[in-house]
This record gives sequence, structure tokens and C-alpha cells, in this order.
Amino acid sequence: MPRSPRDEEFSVFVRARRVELLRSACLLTAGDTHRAEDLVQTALARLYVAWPRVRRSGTQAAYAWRIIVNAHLDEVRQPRWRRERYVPDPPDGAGPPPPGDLPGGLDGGQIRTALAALPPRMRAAIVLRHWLDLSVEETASLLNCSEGTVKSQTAKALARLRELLTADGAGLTTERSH
Amino acid sequence: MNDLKNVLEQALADGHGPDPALGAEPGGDLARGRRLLRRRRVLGLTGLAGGAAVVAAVAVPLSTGTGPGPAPAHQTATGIALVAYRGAQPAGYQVSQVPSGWVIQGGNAYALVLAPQGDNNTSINVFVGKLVVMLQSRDATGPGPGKPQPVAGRPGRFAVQDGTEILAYTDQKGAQVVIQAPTSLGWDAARLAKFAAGVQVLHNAQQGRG
Repeated sequence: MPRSPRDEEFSVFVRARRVELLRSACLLTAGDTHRAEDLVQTALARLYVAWPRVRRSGTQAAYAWRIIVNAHLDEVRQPRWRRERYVPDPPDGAGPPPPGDLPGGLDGGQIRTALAALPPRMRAAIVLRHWLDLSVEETASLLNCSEGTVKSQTAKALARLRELLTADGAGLTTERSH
Repeated sequence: MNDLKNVLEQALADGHGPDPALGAEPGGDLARGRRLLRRRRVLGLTGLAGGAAVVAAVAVPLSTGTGPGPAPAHQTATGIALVAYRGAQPAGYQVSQVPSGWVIQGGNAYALVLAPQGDNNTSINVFVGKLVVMLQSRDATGPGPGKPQPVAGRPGRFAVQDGTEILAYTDQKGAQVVIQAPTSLGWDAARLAKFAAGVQVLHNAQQGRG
């Protein structure tokens, strides 16, 4: 099939940004790579449809992110997608720890379990603010809530992660203060 | 001490996230995007109007029927004339004028659909060849394409995409409204804006997605 200018531009975007989108979506889904792939595929297909107008405004990545976040929150509102559950403590590790542990003894599985224990909107707030480095205003726009809600959700999420990931709650820091 | 970003990075380890050093081939995404675009064009859901009512639209059998295209009752130099409308109004939106020979086919909180009287395709989820009023998609960003076209003194933009005229504007209550009209109406931007000026968005109207 001949490639149109839309095809060419879209392909350049996918090559440059897909991996980044997928990594962020993996955090949003607390390590569920299949759901993350679904979210990214949905977002990119819709982005292709909207490409002419989105490209003109230069907001391709923001558009993709809006779809990913909305689709994620829509899915977790439905019972069949409710895989996350609160857990009082991260599960005990089985066998020797895998290589690449953090200095504090955390491994990826513990962190994913802790992320999964957060309510989806809290997890989204953490990912948007502290992984993608979006501002409070940008995060509020994506989550369709007030800036105050973003701040409170982020603070609660960090406190909850500290509880889950550290014995004394002092091992997790963030450099962001606003 | 673990910086939060490092902690999140660790969550992507051991196969739970793609390697950032890997590239991405766009073939699959390109194919999926093309398929979605084709499906939306068949349903008349392209452009700014693409997201609204799509949830309902994909649930019905696809149809490309565009109705019999009856001769308009009153044709002017700028297309089919507008006539006052005093009939029943569905929930979500109200209009004060309709194209001569056209009727309100139906509507819901997501869209108001007008079609030529006797149109074969009576599904309000198929927009091909119809005049549709809706709120802008929740996922839309930016000012939208096209040239400026005010509606009753309020800002709007007019564009023609794939045989469909699209007018996106801010109404008197601040709602972002999108109207799509088939070029077969023969309307210019000013005529479409005149129709838009008679549109009222009710409190129960809702934005679509996508």
C-alpha cells in the first residue's frame, strides 16, 4: 500500500515514542505488560485517525497520553478489569532475590505489587507527576480533576508506597515538592 | 535512599517493561490506525466528530447506505435553504431551524442527527450523509483545523474533510460544539454557522470519546 504523508509522519512518531509510551503504560498497569500493550495500541490507532489536526497543534504525545489514561481508568472502573487488590504488606519473597535489587533490598516484583495496591487514579497521579514529570496542571487536565485533587492524590500515593516498600517509611524520596 | 524515579524504573525490570534501548517498528500500529480510519469513514465519524457517539456506533452493523437523497424542497445559491422547525426535540440538543426537506431522525445525549425525509438509513448511529450536532470529544485537543468562522459572534472554526463539513465553535454557555454536515447540502461556512446559531445544547448533553 502506498504511504501517505500521514503514514510517514505517524511512523516517525511511533519509532521515536512507542517504547516510552509502553514503559509508562506498564507502570500505569502495575507491570501488566499485556494490558499496557492494549492501551498503547488503542492510543496509537486513535492518534493515527486524529493525526492531521493533532499534528497541527503539536500535541501528539499529549493526545496519546490522554487516551491511555482515560482508557486505563475506564477499564479499571469495570469489574472484569479489577485485578488490583489492596494488600496489607508486600508478599514475602520466594527463594533468592533476583539480580538488580535496589540498595534498599527492593526488587521489581515488590514494587509492582505496591503499585498494584494503589487505587488506579493514585497510581496514575504518581506516574504522570513523578515518571513523566508533568506539572500539577497538566496532570489535573489528564485526570480530569482539580489541581488540589492531584496534590492530595499524589501525597497519599507516596505515603502509601512508603508504607508498602519500607519498614520505617523513610526509604523513599522524591525531589519534587510542588 | 531510593529516589522514586529509580524505584519506578526498577518496576520495569525483569521483563515487565520494554527495553528503552529497543526501537519500535510502526507496521502494526500503522495497520491498526488505517483500519480504524476506514471504519470511521464508513460510519461518517472522521475528523473532529470522530469520537462522539462512537461507543454506540460500533455496536451496530456497518452500513454505507446514505438514503435516497430526495430532491430538496427549497434550493438556494448556497445550497438547501433553512426553514423554521417546531416539531419534537430529542434530549440533549434543540434546533430552531432545519434544512428544507430534512427531519430530525433522532438523538441522544451524545448527538442529534438530522437526515433527508425518507432516508433509508434510519440508524442514528450512522452519520454518513447526515447533519449531526454533538459536543466535542473529551479526547480532542487543540483548536481544531480549518479557518475561523464565528457563530453568533462567538469563536469557531470551519473545515472540510473527506466530503464532510465540520464546524467547531464555542456556544453562548461556553460549551464546545461540533456540527458535521455533508457537502451534499451545498452549504458554505456562513450557512452552516447560521444553522449552528439556532442550536441549543441542553444540560443533559454529554461529550463522546476518542
